[in-house]
Amino acid sequence: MTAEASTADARAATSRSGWGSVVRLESLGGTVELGPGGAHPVIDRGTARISEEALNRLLMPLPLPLTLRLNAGEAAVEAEVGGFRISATVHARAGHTGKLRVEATSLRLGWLPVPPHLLALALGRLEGRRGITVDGQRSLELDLPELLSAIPVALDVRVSHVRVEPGWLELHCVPRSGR
Amino acid sequence: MSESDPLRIEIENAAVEISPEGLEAMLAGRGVDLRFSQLEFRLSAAAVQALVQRLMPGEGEPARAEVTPQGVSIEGEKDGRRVRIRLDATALRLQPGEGELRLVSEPATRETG
Repeated sequence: MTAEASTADARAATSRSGWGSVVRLESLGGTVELGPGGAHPVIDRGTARISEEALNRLLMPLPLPLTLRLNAGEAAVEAEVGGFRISATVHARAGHTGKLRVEATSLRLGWLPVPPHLLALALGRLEGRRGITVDGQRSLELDLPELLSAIPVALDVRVSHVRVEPGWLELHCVPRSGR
Repeated sequence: MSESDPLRIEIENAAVEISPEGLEAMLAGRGVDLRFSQLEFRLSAAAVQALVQRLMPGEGEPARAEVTPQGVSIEGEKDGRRVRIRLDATALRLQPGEGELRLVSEPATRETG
């Protein structure tokens, strides 16, 4: 079975289940503190499976129109920069500080190499965004607790392992403090 | 767990899913729509003790709770009279039904002779 067929089967199965989740959080651990102000949940470990659809939705607010496609072991990204369409092959892994490190391993402008000023323009649009750190000419680090600060659960985690498969990104997270 | 913050529930294992609509609502700040398929919580003895003291406030001795693998016992005062409740159970099951939730205990095996 091809990777595309496998992804299509998985999507059909989720659609049949009537729920069609785009984010699955499994093996979650942490605490819920019950105080006068209510419940304060803190998650400090778990596995997040995030679908391609959800990732593309999460990328929408970025000031750089991006389309992401998850394949086996890598992602294909297309971005519109300065009127040009840049394609990139992207690899994701756990960074040394527990952030999600995203690195473009190949960049193309059609069949031409990407001019450095276009790349600098693209990264410059992301620099300074909350939870995003530009690290080098082709790499970004994403701080998940910062990026997901809108959710009603505090995240005290660091990414320990990353897996990319067709249609899904899987992040294994452990306590940030290394407990 | 510190003494000043005893009401802390440990999440030992949980699984939750978010639908496309739920994600959209969450990102737009409209609300939360989560679907849990697994929940395992743990309450430490200190947390149970704190919970019991809140449920059984009194002017005398504060209510006490003891948790063992054979069950739970609670001791306190109500209107100046001593109240002691012991639940002999090795498990408590929260069972959803049609429009109701049932808390069902699994009885502890009593030693005879």
